[in-house]
Amino acid sequence: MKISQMLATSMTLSLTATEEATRFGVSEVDLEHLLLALALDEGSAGRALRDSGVTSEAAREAVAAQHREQLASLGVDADLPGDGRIQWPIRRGYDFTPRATDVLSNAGAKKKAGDPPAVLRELLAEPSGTVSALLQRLGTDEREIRTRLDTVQQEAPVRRTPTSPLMRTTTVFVPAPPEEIMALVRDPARLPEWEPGLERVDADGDTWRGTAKTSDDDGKPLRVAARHVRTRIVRDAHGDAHVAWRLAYPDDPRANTRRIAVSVREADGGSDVTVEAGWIRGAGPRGLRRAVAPITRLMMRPIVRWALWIQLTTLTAGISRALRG
Amino acid sequence: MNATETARAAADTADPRAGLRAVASLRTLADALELRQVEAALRAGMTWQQIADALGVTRQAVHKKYAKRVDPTIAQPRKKT
Repeated sequence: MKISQMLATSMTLSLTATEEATRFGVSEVDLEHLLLALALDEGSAGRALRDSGVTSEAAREAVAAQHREQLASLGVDADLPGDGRIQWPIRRGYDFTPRATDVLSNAGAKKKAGDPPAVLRELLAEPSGTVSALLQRLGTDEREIRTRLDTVQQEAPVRRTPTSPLMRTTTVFVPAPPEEIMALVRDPARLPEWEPGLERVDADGDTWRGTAKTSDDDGKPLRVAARHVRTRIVRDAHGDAHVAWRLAYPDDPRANTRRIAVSVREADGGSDVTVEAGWIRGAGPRGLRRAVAPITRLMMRPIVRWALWIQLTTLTAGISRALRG
Repeated sequence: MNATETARAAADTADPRAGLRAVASLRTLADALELRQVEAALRAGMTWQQIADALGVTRQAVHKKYAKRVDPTIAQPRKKT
């Protein structure tokens, strides 16, 4: 449990922190970017920060201002070179500074939970004074945030009964109002903004025709089977706060169909976005492979769970990034 | 800020803790600018050796630091001897 918690925390946090670092054009991910990532956390760490005035936007401005003033104190009149937008795709070779790595690994040390609140506590105790100065700039301090962390109801992880072993659900915080999120996730033309496998989506009567990406953002070819290039996209349901998509491969009729459902609920300073993603089982293989399919399924179960988790994380990160810009 | 003021500010050692953090900001800025200039140099067709010479470091050092970091769409020069 702890290993998977640590893995999930550090994967999500390091991706978000790296995205935030690219805004500043810096070459390494540092403590301040971890703080920016934590301000976007959906759990008690994120809420403790936001309730203390550390929203992602305010914190981002504070980081820029702090660098500007520190440079000015040395007589250098300059901003960090980034243009303030997330540079996507993220380049390879983006490193964490040793102290940022330490914060992440210490949060998972003995007797510590390895979850976002643990990372935040490590960050509040970092010795350089950078985080402390940032919090001061934002009108708060370590004590206020620690107190909130102690008092904020540590929500028990929601045990959702998945509708099937091939489905998984997660909730993330996105710093945008529900309408803005719905405008993104309900629009078929905007699917490629958050579903990374899609290159483009075109209208096709009542449904849509998706085209898979066949090369990555660096122009390197991706391994996509020819029968999986075309996608038929159906919008099953949509309302003010909910949308469900179905993505099938018309050239591979026996394959599983993907399902992605998104629902949005207003939260302090943004929205809680719940994404359910997974596969609806298709006709499956034929012949000998069909006979062993139940065994294959059993053996594949951990890998399927892992793949589902990656799929979900990618989708939620895509939604968040598209709205954070 | 004119040159004299700059020198005075840089030499201000009244609050060394803040001064050290400011120097860390300067290093972050320098690293970010270095990456940009290395990319610009590669785009302009300079070799790793030429970049290293201009930076005053060894070719190995600059290659190790930036080979994986620069914009992958830039065609990187092969080693020239």
